[in-house]
Amino acid sequence: MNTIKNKLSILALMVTCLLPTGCQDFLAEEVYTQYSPQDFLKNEDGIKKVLYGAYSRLQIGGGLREDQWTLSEFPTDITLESGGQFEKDALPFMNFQWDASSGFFRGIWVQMYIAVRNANVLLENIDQITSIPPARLAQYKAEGQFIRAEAFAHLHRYFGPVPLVLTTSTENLQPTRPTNEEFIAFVAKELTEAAKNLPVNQDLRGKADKGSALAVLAKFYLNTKQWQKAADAAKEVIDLKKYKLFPEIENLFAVQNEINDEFIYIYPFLAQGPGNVYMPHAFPPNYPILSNWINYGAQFRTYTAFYKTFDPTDRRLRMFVTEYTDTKGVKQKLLEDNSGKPLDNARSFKYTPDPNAISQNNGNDVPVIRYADILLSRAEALNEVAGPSQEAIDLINQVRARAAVPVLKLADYSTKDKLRAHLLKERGWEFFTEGKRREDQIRMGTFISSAIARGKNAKPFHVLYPLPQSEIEANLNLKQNEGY
Amino acid sequence: MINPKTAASQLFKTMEKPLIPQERLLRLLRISITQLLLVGLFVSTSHAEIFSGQKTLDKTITGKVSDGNGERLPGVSIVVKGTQRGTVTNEQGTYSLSVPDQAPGGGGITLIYSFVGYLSQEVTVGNRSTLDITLATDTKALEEVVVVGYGTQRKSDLTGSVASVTEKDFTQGVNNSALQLLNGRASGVQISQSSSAPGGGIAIRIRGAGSINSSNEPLIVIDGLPGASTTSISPEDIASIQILKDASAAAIYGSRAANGVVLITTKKGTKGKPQVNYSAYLGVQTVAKRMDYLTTPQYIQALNDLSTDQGGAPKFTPDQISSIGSGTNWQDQIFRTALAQNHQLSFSGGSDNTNYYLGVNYLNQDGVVLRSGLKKYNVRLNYQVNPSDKFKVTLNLNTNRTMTNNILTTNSGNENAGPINTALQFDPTIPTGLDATGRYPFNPIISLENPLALLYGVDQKKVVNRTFGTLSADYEILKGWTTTLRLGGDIANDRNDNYNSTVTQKGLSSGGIGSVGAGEDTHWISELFTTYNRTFNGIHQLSILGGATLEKYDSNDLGASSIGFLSDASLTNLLQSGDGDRGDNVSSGRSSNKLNSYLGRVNYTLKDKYLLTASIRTDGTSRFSDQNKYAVFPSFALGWRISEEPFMQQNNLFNDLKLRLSYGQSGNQAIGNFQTLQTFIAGGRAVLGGGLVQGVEPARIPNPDLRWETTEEFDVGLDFGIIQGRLSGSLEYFIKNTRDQLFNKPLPTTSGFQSILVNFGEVRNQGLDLMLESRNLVNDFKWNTNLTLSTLKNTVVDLPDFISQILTGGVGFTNNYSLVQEGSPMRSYYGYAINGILQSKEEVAASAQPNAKPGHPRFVDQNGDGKISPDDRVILGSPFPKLIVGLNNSFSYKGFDLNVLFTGVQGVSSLDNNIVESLYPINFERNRIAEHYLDRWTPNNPGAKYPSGVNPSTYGGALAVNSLTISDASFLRLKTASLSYAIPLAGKKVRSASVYVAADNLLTITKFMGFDPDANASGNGVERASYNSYPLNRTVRFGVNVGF
Repeated sequence: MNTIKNKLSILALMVTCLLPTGCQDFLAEEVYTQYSPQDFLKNEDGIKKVLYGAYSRLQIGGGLREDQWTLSEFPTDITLESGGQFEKDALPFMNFQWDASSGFFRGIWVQMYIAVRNANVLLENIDQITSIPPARLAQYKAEGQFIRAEAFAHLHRYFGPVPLVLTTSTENLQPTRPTNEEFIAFVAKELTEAAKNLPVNQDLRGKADKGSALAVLAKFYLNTKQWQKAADAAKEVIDLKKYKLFPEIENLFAVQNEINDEFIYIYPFLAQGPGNVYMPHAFPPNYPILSNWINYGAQFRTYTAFYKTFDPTDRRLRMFVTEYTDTKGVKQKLLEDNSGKPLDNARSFKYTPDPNAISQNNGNDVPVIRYADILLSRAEALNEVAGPSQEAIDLINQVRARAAVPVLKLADYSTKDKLRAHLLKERGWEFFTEGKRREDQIRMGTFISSAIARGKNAKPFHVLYPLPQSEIEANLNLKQNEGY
Repeated sequence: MINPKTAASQLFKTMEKPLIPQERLLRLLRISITQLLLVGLFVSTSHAEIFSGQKTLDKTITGKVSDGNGERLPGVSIVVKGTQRGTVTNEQGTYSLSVPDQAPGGGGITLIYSFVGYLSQEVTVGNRSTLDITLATDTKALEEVVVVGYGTQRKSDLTGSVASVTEKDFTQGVNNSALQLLNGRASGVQISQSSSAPGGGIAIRIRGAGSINSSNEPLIVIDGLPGASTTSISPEDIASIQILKDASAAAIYGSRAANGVVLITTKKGTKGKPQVNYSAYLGVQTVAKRMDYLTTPQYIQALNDLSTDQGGAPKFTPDQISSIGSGTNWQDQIFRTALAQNHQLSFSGGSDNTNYYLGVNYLNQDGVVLRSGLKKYNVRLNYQVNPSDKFKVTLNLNTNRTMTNNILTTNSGNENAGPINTALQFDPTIPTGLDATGRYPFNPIISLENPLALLYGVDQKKVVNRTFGTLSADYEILKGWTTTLRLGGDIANDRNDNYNSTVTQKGLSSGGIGSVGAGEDTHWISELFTTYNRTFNGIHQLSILGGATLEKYDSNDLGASSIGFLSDASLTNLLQSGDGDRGDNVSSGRSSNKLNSYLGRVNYTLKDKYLLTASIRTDGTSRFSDQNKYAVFPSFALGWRISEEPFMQQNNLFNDLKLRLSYGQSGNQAIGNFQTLQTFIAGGRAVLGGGLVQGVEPARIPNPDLRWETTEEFDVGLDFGIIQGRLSGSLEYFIKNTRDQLFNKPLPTTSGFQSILVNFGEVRNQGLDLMLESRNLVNDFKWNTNLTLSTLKNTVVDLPDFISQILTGGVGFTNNYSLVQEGSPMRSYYGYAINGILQSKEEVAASAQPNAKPGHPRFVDQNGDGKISPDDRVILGSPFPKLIVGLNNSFSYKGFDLNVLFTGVQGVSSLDNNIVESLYPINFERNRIAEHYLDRWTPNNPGAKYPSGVNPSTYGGALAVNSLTISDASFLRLKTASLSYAIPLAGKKVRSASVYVAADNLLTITKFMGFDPDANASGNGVERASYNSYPLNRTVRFGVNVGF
């Protein structure tokens, strides 16, 4: 019957469409799977969904491998990659041969700017929604500000100052880059405001709260070398008394421990996806794995030289695999061969394999900032401001004590440089596999020298990545970083 | 100068052969069935005479039969009216026939002279004993009527470029798609089989491809229904296919005509006794060509040599080698000899007021790769009833069910690669069968699944049910003025079931992965049009068409998937047995678009010599904003039948000569929905509170100025027939510009949007289409040759200023090889030229590759800057053939028919990614193409054709797109050869019967290394690559056709 009705209605329409007035009604576009923007910009429920859209882009999701390891550890003295289809993409980053055409730059750039846009949709429209109580409205705005500022800060680590797009207007699609000072001032202001209006505890884990905004601010100050401000912001985080170190570092990254007092700001992952795909890259060949796991050809390995810098008693070493018996019963060594030649093949199993992983997707959350980082950041900032101090040493010792390595003595660190050098080592031991090494080396000035020492053709300009080539081509007002 | 007339008669003479008179019968008609009947009649008549004796007095009539030019006509049939007695004229055009002195019913004797292409003549014998007859040419009967958009036209009246292929010329084979019938049969039309899997894709290109980012597929119209499917139909129900090649012929289809239009007309019943036809074949298919990869001993040797050359220990120890034994040839494990069978039964007939055709088809094709195959059922009913002289109602209804089992055909290169690619590269030292744990063994280093696990562990089923048809009513309001209302519908339901069981590594790690996708696509069309035909003063022929149409397309889909099943046994039949918490997923979608069109056409013919056609179509679509909803697509064409001019009447060379000129515009509406609207869409999903929450975000920056991609085409053509039509054909030149291309203009992504759809850019296709049909021998032994030959030049004329070039392409791990840039063919291959192999350290030091080793390929430093960089890339080939050729020869003698069809393309390239992965293996232990390693460079083999293979990643990676991997994909193929025999039938129960044996893809001459140079891993698009190709089938078919 419907068919007949359908045909009859078409027939009726056809008669009208034969008239010279035309057939605009018939040709109106029917939309079944998309929404009118107004549906979401008029009440609190809609705004929440816009906010979720913004969070979804800020949480790195499928870009984790590129963001955390390819861009942030392969050019450093910790991690290398070989094998699989990924090798050809990884090699430029290990060898300081990247150029602006790499899709990884565009990937992170686009994702962060979509987060910015989604946050801008919220910030531009929320004031018109009078039905939201002022307190909650302020909180939503603070979350929008946090997402936008954190996206900018994320891009800043890779590219330096990038355009501050603060509107959804399409009038000027070719923004320019601000000066570094303008950029830094804006991001700091936004994060400060966000921290002021965010609650200490949020309803849903993964949302921005006061601690995460302050932690991001502290790290942003640190990376932009505003030492006193970094020290102060870190202090504010500590003073929230919300966070503390998890007792067993080697189990901190297991799925069952991911709700803890140490993680401040996370990229959350789930076994059903978006998943943490680190472990399939870390399992060595023929490693005995559960049937629900998978082992990729692209292998993430650790430089033997880095491994050897650890104190042998360091609990953090427990997160490495240096030898194993493979599925064929053969014992495999990963650190050195029989002649003592380094194999650079130890495996960091920091993200304890998720027993419920689904194929490559593990549910382990990735801490972007955890309390240990805040402690070491404050120590570093204090050292940079006034040189070694007992407070700085104590902060470091909190982290060392948890790792069960001997505590430091202030007397052993007579100069700022000495303590800085130790902090770089300490941060390596603490944060390997967490995507921190590149920014740490850059901040402490060893990124290039360390690469040269590994035989790479690194140049000073390599401390910044190039803006994506496609972006340079699409926006004539955008200036490429020096050297590219 | 050769006198054309003498030349013609000499040509005629040289082809003549002495003939035995009785055999004359067979050369009479192209429709051999009729001839056979006639033989039967004569035989029976003469027998009757022998046994019954002569009852009446006979006298003998002699004479000769000539045509209007005085040429004698051999093979003219002469029958005594009212009897079955008769004869045919001999070689000299004379005859002798004994006739009774009285007709059976009393009265004088009348003879009927008939010959194909001439008007029959009845002559009363009277007292005469000599009758010399002149037969007049039947111009009308000679005229093929061809289907054009919204009507039919005599072929002689055509002004546009229309290729017409009728049933007798269809390319035979295990055909699933109607497009395969056209292979090699129409000039300017390239049919290529992008996959030889059962139900695999068929790409058709009519005069190249004009659209960079939108579809280049033509519009398919079946019995007036646009947008129909060429696979949901039985090829044997098709009577003819017309291809509207130029814009003037196609413009009546407006916004969907830019890539040409294919009009498919199905069979009708004819008035007379019901006819039953049954045809069937059984095909035996084998892999036409296997790829030569290293055998197990070669593989061991090559890997040991390479390990040593790379400074390591040999990969295999003597102990390992002896334990490996003969290893496994994995191609042997996945290929098989497969059967195909096809049955077609049809019933047709008609009376004064009705006619009908009912066709039933069953096709069952197993694939030459294990676990692949196709089953197809098709029923068609064409029924016409005329309630009155002025009123005609026609129903065309087709219903089809196609079930396909597919193997994995991804272009992925690792564990998820398809079984064909995996079998090629899989470790040949691994034994076949299961290991001790009951699993298919694999080599963990090479990141490839066992090919048999991929075949037995993955189930992919697709079922399509599709019913489509038209119901139309024609009413003749006044003489010559007819109005037609046509309603059409097309309903397609499909369901895809995919199950990846725990047999595979991937399936195991998820506990089985199952998904079901189902969708429904509907298309409704309502058309009202009116035609008026009239001849004024005997010299002005006028035909006018006007109409309006409404169409609605609606599609919706539903998908569900889960993982972690209780058991593999339930496949996708029990998705709820999956692990709901971890892996359930559902999705659905719906979209629709609508079209409203007005169309008109005028055909005017003056004195049958001067032809004019003008057409216009206005199309409106829901996809564009109000200001651009409607666009106009006009066309204009002129024809001049030079052969009808008085000054040509004395000419005996040309019996037909026509010049055509045409211009037209058509559009391409292959654009997505909503591009002119600002909407919000379900955006990313955030992980908050330990679960997924759905977010929303803006979809795009809309562009209200979007309009159709428009193609303008100019065509000039010459149709000719010479030497009484012994040689006929057409030669055409076309130039086609496609402008206002739809481009995704990259936006600064700081806006949060990556691109905006805009109109910009132009692509030109130009070329020559030549079609020749020659009746070389016309006597008992007949030999006909058909040649189609097309040249093509495709050029990107203009690109937007915001895109200097577009570099795309991705197959396996090879990317960015396909270039669109001004001045080159669209999607040209772009990479590094290699001009030999570096021989010595000195040569290396002097080269632009200081880090290379002797034995590495020598890249050409195009810009001479002393290094090999992306700036050194050049165009290495084109995905468009410069020349497309189809050559068919048919020979017939007595009841035997031999048909041999060659098809070929020349000047076309393809990226062969199997070569890429052989020269630059993803992994050392993957198997490689034998030739690359049996003739690799070593210090002792400096003249080798291929590089050393030592540390190949140093010259591979981004350098892998080069002149070694971009391969010449030209080929000449013996597409099909068939020998049939028409069984002479005396009985009346069986009207006709023939048997045949045919071979498809018997021979391919090509330099291409892969399974099939015609295959395309990128599907039916312009961009081409060869990878994981389903191998070409060589098929031997045994068939039978019986008519009752």
